[in-house]
Parts: sequence; C-alpha cells; structure tokens
Amino acid sequence: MRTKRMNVRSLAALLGIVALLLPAAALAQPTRLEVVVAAVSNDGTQVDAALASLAQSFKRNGLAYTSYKLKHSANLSLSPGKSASIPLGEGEAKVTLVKAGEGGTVTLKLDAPNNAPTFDMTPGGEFIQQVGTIPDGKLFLIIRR
Amino acid sequence: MELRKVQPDDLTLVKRCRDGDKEAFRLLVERYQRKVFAQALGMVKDKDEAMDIAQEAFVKVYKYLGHFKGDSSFYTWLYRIVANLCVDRLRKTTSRSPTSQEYDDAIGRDEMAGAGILSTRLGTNPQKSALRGELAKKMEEALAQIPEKHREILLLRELEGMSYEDLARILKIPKGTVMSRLFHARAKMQRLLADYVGEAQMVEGLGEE
Amino acid sequence: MESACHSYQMLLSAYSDGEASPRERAQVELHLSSCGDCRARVEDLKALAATVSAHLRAQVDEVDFSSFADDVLKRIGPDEPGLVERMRICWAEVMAYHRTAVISSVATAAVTLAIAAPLIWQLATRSAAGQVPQVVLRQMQLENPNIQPVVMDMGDGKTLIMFVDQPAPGAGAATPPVLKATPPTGGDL
Repeated sequence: MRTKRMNVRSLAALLGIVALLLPAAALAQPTRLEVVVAAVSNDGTQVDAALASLAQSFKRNGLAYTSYKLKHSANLSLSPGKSASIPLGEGEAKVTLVKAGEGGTVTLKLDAPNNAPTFDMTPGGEFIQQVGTIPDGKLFLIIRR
Repeated sequence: MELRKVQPDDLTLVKRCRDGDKEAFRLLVERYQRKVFAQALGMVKDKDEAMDIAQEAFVKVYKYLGHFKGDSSFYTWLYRIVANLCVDRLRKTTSRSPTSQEYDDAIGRDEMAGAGILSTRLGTNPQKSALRGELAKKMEEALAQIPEKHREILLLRELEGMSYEDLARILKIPKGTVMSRLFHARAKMQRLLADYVGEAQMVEGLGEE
Repeated sequence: MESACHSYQMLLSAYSDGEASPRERAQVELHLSSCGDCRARVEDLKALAATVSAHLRAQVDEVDFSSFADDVLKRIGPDEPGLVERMRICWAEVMAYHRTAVISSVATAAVTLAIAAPLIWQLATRSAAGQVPQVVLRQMQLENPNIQPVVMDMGDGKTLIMFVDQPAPGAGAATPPVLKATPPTGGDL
C-alpha cells in the first residue's frame, strides 16, 4: 500500500518539475519561422513549385490569380525580442518575435510598408499579408511555423 | 424665423383619416400615388389599367382603414391591397399559367455574363434622353418578358430603393430569397438586353432554365 | 466563366446593392481584387440597376398625378356620417384587443431572443471559424488611412490580410473597413 502511495507522490512531483521546466525549455529554444515572398498576379500562368499549395489555397478562397512567382524565401530562427528583415524587392519588411508564450503560441509583430500587425501564432499557423502591388497583381509575404 | 414644416408620419395621418379628416387622407394619397401606380404598372403593364387600379386601391384604403391594425407599416398594408387588386385583375383578363410564378427560386442556371459589356454600353448614369427610343422599347419588352415576381422585386428595388430587409417583409419571403430572386431577375434582364447591346458573347455559357 | 467566379455571381448582385454581410463583403472584395471580369460584372450590375431605375422613373414621370387625389375622392363619394364613427369604434376595439396581444408577443420574443441570441452567435462564430484559429490578430496599425484591410480566415490555420487600396470598383469605395483595427481578444478572424 505504502509503496503505491509513494509512487503516486513521486510521479506527481516529477510531473510538477516537468511542468515547471516546459516553459523554460520553450523560452530557451528559438522559434523557427519560414518566410516567403510571392508575386501573385494575372500576368501569365507560371506557378512555382514552392507556391503550389498557396495557389491552391488562394483558389479555394475565391482568389482568381493565375501566376505565382517565388521572390524570396528563408528560414528564420528568432529568440524573444529579436528581429529579422525580409527583402521585398523595393524596401523591406521586419518580423519581430515579441514573446514566446505557453502552449507553443508565439506573438509576432510584422512591420510591413503598409501595415504593422501584431498577432499570435500556434505551430502550424500561417500568416499571409499583402505587402505591395505589382502590375496586375500583388506581392504577398507569408510567415509559417 | 421660419419653422421647418414637418410632414406628419403615416400613422398620424391614418388616425386623422379615421376621425374623418379628408385632408389627411389626401396627404396619404399624394404621398403614395406614384409608388402605387408604379407597382400596379409593374404588374399589369398597361398604363390606364394601372391608373385605375391605383385609384381603386386608395378607395379601398379609405373604406377599410378600420381594418388596418397598425402592426405593420401603412405602406406594407397598402402594398398588399394593390398586389391583391392586380392579381384579381390579371385573373379576370388573362388565363395565366399558374406555373409561371414559381419556377425559379432555386439556384438555377442564371448567370451574369459578358463582363463589362452593359456598363460600357449603358454607362452607370444613363441620361433620360438615352432611354428614349430603342433602349426604352427594349427595356419595356424585357421587363414584360420576365416573370411577374421578378418584375415586382426589380421595381421595388430599383424604383423604391427598398432594402433587402424591407423587401423580405413586404413580399413575405426570407432575405435569402430576396437575394436570389433579385439575382435571377437581373440575370434575365441582362440576357434580354444582350441583343440591344449587340454582343453575341453575352449568352455564352448560359444554359436555359 | 472560371469556377471561382461562378460561385460569386449571386453575391455580386447583393454586393452591388450594398446588401452583402460584412463577411460576404470581405470575400467579394478579396475576389474582386484578383478578378477583372467580376469587377466588370459589378459595373454591369450597376449599369443595369441605373438603367432600369431611370426607365421606370421615366415611365412614372410621364403620368400626370395632378388630379389623382381628386379623382380618388370623387370615387369615394360623400361621407356617410355613421361610417367614420363606426370605424373609429371598431378600431378602438381592435387596438384594445391587439395592444395586449402585441405587447405579450413582443415580450415573449424578447425573452426568447435573449436566450437564443448568445447560442446562435456562438454557433455562427464557431461554424464560421470551423476550427480553433492558429493565427489570432491582436492589433493592426495601418500606415495609410485610405486603404481598407480585408482579413480572411482561409482555413487550415491560415490568415490572410489584403488591402483594397485602389479606388474600389463601385460599392467598395463607400464601404467601411471590413474589420476594425483591433478585434476583440481571442476573436477568430
């Protein structure tokens, strides 16, 4: 009987330690982000392989663009308070990891030429914003985890 | 200092009518005569007959003011009186096929097509002068050809500028039906006007209903 | 016609009337930003509406209403003294009866609505989002007050912000921003 209770206690203690360590571990590890800049337009029908899923998702949502060209792509690794800049052809955008919260949610701030949104993102999330206008189309910045 | 003259609202006028105030009744008539005539014209398509119905409608209003419960707007009540008179009249004069009313509320094959053709040809602010002659004739023909309920809703929307909510209330149909009915009415009008704007491609891809 | 366009046809009609819901309007504007054909279709709808309206107005304008009210009064004839009075009494009775009926039904409706509305709202927002949002917008700072953000939850955890910055074709110009700069916390977009 006693050993059983002991086991339960040590298990609870272990769980408590793990629970305390988890956020620390999350804070310690920088957050990986993938950023993509895409020129999306009705000029031609070229769809770059890396943008095929974006094209499908746009189409599903009623956007009738025909051409998806990859302009830039990079993998970022950001710690809280750190920023990285993303070239947009003319000008650039800046992405900042404001904080890494519980449950893997991070708060990001994007400084783009037209808009500076702050948003929370969980793993698997994808944030897309128009960051410019090109002939017969638009320039999009995609941030994924 | 001149005080702004405030027009009494419908219910005030109705109350005064009930007390035997003929001037109040005259004000009500003058307020709604154009609407009533337009509605009747939309339904019976003949000007003299529409005029006759419009007058008869107001005679009925006067006679049955006691039946007006005041829980709907006066115009809604008036609208139904006119609609009923038109239906009676049409029943008497023509033997319409009963199915002509109800065949296309489901999302059918109506589509808007020929992107940009109408706007290029008609412009968004057609002058009245442009509406004389051929276009006016074409318009009249087109309006005569679409089903009655489509003509009715177009009239209320384009002439009265009624909101979808008011349309739903007055026609006693759900708001979603207002949306689809207007869409079908317009698609039909576009198709019928296609000849006038002279574009064969407007009918491209359009199925028959 | 593109299949994407096909599904928008009915909405375009409501959109051109300024009668699309905020969500529908966002969807339409998003589509219009990518589709010249549908922008032209919206112009067509406006041209048609304006033409039909001008035509109907012209038809009514041709009619002389100056003696209309007199003609109606002539058809009514002289008053029968008792009638108006009788009608008044009848009306008073009807009102006396209906006033209670109306008040009680309004009260019932209000109570029902008070209970149902939050439930319906929950259902609506849940079904609109489909799933737990993976991106939640906290704040936006627009650099240019003339641009309008269109924020879309694209499903699969994707959120898209687009800007309608060109003089929007027709109705778009007069429509207010689809989303306020700061949505309620935790609101799904």
